[in-house]
Amino acid sequence: MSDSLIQEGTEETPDVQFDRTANVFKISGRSYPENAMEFYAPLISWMESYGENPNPVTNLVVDLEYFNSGSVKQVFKLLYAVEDILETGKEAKITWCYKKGDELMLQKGVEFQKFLDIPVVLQEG
Amino acid sequence: MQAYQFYSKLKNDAFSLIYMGEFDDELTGLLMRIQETSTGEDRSMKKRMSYLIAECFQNIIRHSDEEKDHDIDLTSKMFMMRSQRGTHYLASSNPIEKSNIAKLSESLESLKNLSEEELRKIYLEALGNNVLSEKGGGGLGLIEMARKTKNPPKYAFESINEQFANFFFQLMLDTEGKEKDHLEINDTIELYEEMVNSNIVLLRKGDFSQESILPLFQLFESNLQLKKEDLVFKKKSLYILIELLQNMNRHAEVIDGNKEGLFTISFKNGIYIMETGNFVKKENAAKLKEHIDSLKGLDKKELAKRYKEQLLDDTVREDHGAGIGIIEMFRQSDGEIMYKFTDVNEHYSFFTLKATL
Repeated sequence: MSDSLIQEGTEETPDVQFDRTANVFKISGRSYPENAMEFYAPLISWMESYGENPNPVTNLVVDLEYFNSGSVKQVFKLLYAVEDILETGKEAKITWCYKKGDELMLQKGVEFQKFLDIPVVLQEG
Repeated sequence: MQAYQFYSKLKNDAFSLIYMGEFDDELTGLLMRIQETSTGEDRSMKKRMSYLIAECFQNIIRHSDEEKDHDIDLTSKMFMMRSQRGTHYLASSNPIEKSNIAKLSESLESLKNLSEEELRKIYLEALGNNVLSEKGGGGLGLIEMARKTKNPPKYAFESINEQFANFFFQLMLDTEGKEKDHLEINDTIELYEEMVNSNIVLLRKGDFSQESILPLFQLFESNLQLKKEDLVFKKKSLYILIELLQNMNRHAEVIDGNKEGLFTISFKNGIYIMETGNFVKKENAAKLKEHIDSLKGLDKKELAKRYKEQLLDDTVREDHGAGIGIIEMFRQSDGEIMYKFTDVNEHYSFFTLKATL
């Protein structure tokens, strides 16, 4: 596994910054690709292999502005991969960002909070 | 539901885009992009079209006469692009003061019978003269449009009230040189009236691949009054728009190499209605129907449960929607989701999906 996965965002896909050395894990921007599974598969598998030997503390920041339902499902799988880190005994959490007044993004964050065992911190910004 | 009605009306169009509302320069760029990503023409044709779209727009922005006291209806200005049997049409409609009709007709008439060479001469003269009308156009735009299309523009005036008339203007770019079955200015006026009556602010027919739907998100986001709406509404409506269009992208049957479909947005009294229409195979229609019916009448809590089930279900191929998109539409639209299947032939049904926001 490479130490980092960095991708610039496009009109339909988010910025990806997965960096083990800098201990930064973030996706941000827009996410409505035609095939969300195809876009997220490498992200999920990167996170799974990182999770086998993670840093002492991992914080995945999700900061999406617009997204489609297909992406939500894939993001969920990505969060699952982060949740698995907890089994190694290391610390991990999710920071879910939403803009003030963005009920939709907040709703998604609250849902994930309920569905997952890993702490999901909702952060208004 | 009106998608099928408009689909039938525009059935010979390989591509149509009709926009009603406010016009600004940002919109010009967006509509050019929609044109560029949507029509299968070669580059020089696309360039020519882009140029004409820009000119057409400048005309609408520059020459619309506004009523000072009370705003003319939002839907009163129109921009239209249609492609039919290899011929492209650009048309516009905007209100002008009736006192300007005579002068405008005169300039347009004078262009009608000119040869290419004569048009070129007039154009150079107009350039050299530096005589610009108070609106800054000086007729150059009209001359250029006539030159670029190689067809005289068609036009008409339809009275709105004592003071104003709608100015309809139509350009034709003939790529295959077929002389018959051309759209006339009256076809455009008729379509305009139907659009106004149906409160449609945006209509798009043609191919709905991902590449061609992306500019529509941008168009919706930056125009169509949405700037004024609050963030919650904006987010939700864009989410539903994305789901509707990608749903169509996923499920539409490919007809003649295109994911053929039609999409409309209507706006009236603060309510948005979005409709998509596309062909589905009859054997798939039943499944689709069953899925949507199973969601009808569910309250928010039950919908949330269904959503969770789909989210956690790993057996379905989520890249193909797996129905999660439609569940989300139900959850996020506080209005309603309706659908209709229209029998087309023995193999296909026309599927209309309508979301009210």
